Amino acid sequence: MRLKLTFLFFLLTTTLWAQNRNPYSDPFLKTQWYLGFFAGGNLSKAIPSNSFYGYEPLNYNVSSIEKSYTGLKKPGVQAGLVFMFYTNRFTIGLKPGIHTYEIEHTTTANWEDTTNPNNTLNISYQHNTNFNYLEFPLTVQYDLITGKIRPYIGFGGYYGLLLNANRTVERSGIDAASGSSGSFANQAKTIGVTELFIKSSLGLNAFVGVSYDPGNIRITMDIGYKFGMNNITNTENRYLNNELSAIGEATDDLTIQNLYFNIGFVFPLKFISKNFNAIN
Amino acid sequence: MKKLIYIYTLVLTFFASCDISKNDVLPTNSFTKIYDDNRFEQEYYPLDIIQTMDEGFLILAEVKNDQSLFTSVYVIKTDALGAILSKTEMSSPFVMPVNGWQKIGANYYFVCMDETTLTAQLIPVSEAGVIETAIPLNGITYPLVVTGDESNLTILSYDNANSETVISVASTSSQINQQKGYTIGAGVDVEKPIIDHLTRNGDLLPFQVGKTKEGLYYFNGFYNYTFSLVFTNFGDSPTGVCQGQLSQGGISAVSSLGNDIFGIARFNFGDNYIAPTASISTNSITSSTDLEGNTFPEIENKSVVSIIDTGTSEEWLYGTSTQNNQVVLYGFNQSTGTILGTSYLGSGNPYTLAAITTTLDGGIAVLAQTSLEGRFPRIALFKRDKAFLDELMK
Repeated sequence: MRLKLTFLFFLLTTTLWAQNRNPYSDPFLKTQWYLGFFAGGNLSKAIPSNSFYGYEPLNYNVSSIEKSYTGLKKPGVQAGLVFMFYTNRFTIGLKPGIHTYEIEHTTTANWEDTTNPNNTLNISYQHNTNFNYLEFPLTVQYDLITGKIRPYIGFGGYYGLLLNANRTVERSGIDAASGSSGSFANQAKTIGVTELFIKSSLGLNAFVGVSYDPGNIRITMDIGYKFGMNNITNTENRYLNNELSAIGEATDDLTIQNLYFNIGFVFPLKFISKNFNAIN
Repeated sequence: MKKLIYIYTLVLTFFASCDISKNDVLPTNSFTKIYDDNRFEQEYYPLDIIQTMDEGFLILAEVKNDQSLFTSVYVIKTDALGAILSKTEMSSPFVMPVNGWQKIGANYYFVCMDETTLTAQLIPVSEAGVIETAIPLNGITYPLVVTGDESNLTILSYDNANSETVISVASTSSQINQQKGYTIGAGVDVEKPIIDHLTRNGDLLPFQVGKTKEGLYYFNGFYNYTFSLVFTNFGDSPTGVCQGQLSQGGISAVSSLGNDIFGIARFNFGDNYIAPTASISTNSITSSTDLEGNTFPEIENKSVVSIIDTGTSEEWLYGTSTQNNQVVLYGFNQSTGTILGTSYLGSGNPYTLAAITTTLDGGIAVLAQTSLEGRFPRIALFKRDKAFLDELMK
């Protein structure tokens, strides 16, 4: 580990030291490779296409469980590496990284004593589901102007590989079963739900941003939106989690959408080439 | 660069296509369903489950009935996914269904009781879950448990007039072909556990009835003051008895392997034992406390035990309930008696086993009772596939 860090420090130092040319007046720089890293935050929301339930009601409509999703509320983070190739204002980027997403939804359960309607039990379950994905985006961006500061727009697609998922369930409600109303909230319970989702996630993204190039490093900032294209729920396993079945929950068919912000630092690679050859 | 992007896209498309394209299946192989009722006062007690030829399920359950000493009969028909297709609560006088479903020919039956005459009633049910006209089994009162073979039903019942445990063989046309009663002993103390069982006001006793591989009838019930495993050829006296300890010890489940070898579970004053290859004499008097077997402290006292012969690989599937309020499944080798695997079902709410049945896909369906929010007794169904069973028996 220490050896790797030393090597990385050496690489970055020599890269910075090597940057002594004006990059914008030199035809050498009509193409360029970049290597760097990015990090940022995101807000996610789940889009359910079909709803499912762990309870099979004997005397009521299952929709009264009132499953509802709240969007773009819970923050997540992402970080990863950047490999970019620049030519004639266009930049093609590969940005593998770890992305965490959190989505939130609620379900309810209600029971009533038909012989005494004042005796009721109303429970709300808040489900916060966290995903960790290893994502492999491929993007194309276009610099709107050239210069040290370059605004750009871009789009792309990504493949995500689910690493793990877990869910925290908070239970609260009003128990009037003893004849008087009393609210309660229980300690949250976290359970592993990786098996409820498939490994793959595919999607498209669009973004706008700006890069600043002081001469030996390019700093990028962009904001974008990701559209999940496939149902991430494992349809075969949707009823398999015992903890969730016990509270009437089964996993819906879901796609994920995501608003994100990234800041990145990338370094041109040609300047550290041994033979200093700009045209490869 | 073009090559790199091309390869990158190809590799990712390959990975993505693997599970995305296959991710549109109905989870008929494995699922968990809970049958809820939003009424406080409704209490469901599942009894038995059987898979029908359309891959759906028939569920037999009891419902607490404030208007009667006895529970009401409740029948649910589901599809292969456990979704409800029909549900029927039988009205008076039909009460107190007993375990469990019988498939004779292409028809499905269960037995309950007429609360007016106290006689057993054979209830035919269609594959669609439609309850048909009841067939009275005159001469059989207070039915306790029933099993069926290709043509007949063997019914264990209680004759309170003569204080006898009665074993009967009846046809589906209500003809009693064979019948014999054996005394439970004199006195109220002996009858009380039976009455408590019938009215669901006390411990549910593990009554059983059936035949050995050699065709000798047996029942697990009260005989001569004790809860015993009794072997009979319908003579005046049993051919053999494996005695329990009043109602506090005895056999809790039994299944014959032939040659006087049985897979059993037994209980004795709070301790629970499993003996997958117990040797029990069918023509002498023995004691259940002398049977070999290992104690399983995790098993809840007096819980239902189900023993299933999985059929192909000389394996027993045992199912019961734990003190941790889960359903537990054990796999045992029928030859050596060694345990092959253990699996637990249910968490979040308390679960107790009601019944297990094998399914057409080589898996199992486990019927259990759960208490939603710890207070509402409801029916739970666990369907697990062949891979689950293979893993358990590995």
